[in-house]
Amino acid sequence: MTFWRQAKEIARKDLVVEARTSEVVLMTAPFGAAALILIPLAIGTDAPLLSRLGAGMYWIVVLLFGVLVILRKSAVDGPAQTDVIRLLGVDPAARFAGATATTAFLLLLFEIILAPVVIALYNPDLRGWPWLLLILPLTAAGLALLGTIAAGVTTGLGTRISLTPLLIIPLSLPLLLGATQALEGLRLGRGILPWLVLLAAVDLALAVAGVLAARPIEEATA
Amino acid sequence: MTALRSRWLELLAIVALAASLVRSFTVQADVTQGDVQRLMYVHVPSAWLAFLAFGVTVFASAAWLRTKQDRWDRLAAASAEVGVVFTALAIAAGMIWARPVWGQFWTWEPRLVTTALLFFIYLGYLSLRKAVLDPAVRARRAAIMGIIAFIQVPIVYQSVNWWRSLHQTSSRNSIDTPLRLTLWLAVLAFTFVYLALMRRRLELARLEDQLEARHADSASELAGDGVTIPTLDRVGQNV
Amino acid sequence: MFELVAAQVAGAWWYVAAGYTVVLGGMAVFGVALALRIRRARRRLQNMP
Repeated sequence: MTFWRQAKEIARKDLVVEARTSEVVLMTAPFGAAALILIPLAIGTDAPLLSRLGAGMYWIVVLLFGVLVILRKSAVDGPAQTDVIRLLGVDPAARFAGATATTAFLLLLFEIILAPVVIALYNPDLRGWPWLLLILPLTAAGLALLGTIAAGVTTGLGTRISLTPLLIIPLSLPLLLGATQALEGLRLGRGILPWLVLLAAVDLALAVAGVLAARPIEEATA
Repeated sequence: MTALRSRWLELLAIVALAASLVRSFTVQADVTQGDVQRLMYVHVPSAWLAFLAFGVTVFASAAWLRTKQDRWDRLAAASAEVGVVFTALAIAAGMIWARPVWGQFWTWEPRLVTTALLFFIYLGYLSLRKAVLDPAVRARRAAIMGIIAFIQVPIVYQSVNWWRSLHQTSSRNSIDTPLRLTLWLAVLAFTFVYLALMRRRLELARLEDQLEARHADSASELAGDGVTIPTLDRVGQNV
Repeated sequence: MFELVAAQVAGAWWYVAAGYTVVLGGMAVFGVALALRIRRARRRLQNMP
């Protein structure tokens, strides 16, 4: 089996598991939506205020709750499953690619489900919205890459549910800034390109790092 | 006399620190900020050491991945622990400085934000080390995480920089006023302190590795091994 | 956005004292803690068979 075929099979396996439980669609996304509803009750339902904060709140929820989407994967992959995959001789880098692809897809799904929620509740400024077609996948990919690496490093640890988010969140700041400032920059007339380049550069750096780290990570899962 | 010889680094650090202290308090006050600016002579060196320690951790992580020698892992762990202390001190001093000068405890400028995030990166790294029990697995995972973090930190700094330039009309550089010579003296003194603390921390790491090895040798039974699962010998009867 | 509160800040030396105490004290506390941990580790190694 070639590298890409292996990656595709791993991705397919993960997607099938997700399709069976619908964890992201039925549980994580509603959780995120509930958070978006709670926020105005805490900070005030002033319409101009919410309009200004809407985009930022959306991305914060995507980032913080997206970590749950990343965590579900490590919960699903028990030691027995990973052992079988390793015994089958799957290239660790292919496994990384497949896992990341699924997580990125689920995060994108998560973003897409929450978008109408934030638009309805916060009425944010939607100027330049077509750029979201680029921003949403780039952010999802970056978060997925970071998350898969972090999940790989915390495999099998009892504290991984608390530790993995702590590892991901500080390092994800460039993704958060890229996502929020892209449209903001457009609004202020300063151009969107630097932020898109930032997102792409972060994604590329993480992809290279993740592929290189895939074998050491697998060797570290005794 | 041997006690003195083994403590030369500490003594050097204390002397350098004392000299720096004297200088920091006797040098002329800053024109705009007044005496409060003297806090820069502890804030800037602490921040510098926070990042230096991080660099050492990353370098040692890479060295371990290449050579698999224990001493590099010990160096990485030691520098991370010393580094997190200096990061916390840098943030604390920065906040004490910011309050009288800016009227609030925090300014959202790239260096402070990156230092704060560095603190969390350190915490994550140290928590990861603590969570893994097997020394080889721990060294490998920590090394990977260290290098991933290293790749991201400059990107974090640059992205906060861009964010600031997007929202600030005047770019007021808030920290760059301390007088050069005094600052360099402080940085030098703090570097000696770092080296002295590192020496001790590495000694502790060696001792702990020895303890760990000895514990692994004496294979002791787990407390729960004495309890056996009850089984049904004959139908309806527990044995 | 941020205004400089005052060139010569009232009570400046309190802030300076607080800052220096925190930083120097913090380093000292860490150093002492290290020394204690080393002592404890040495003792544990000696007590082991």
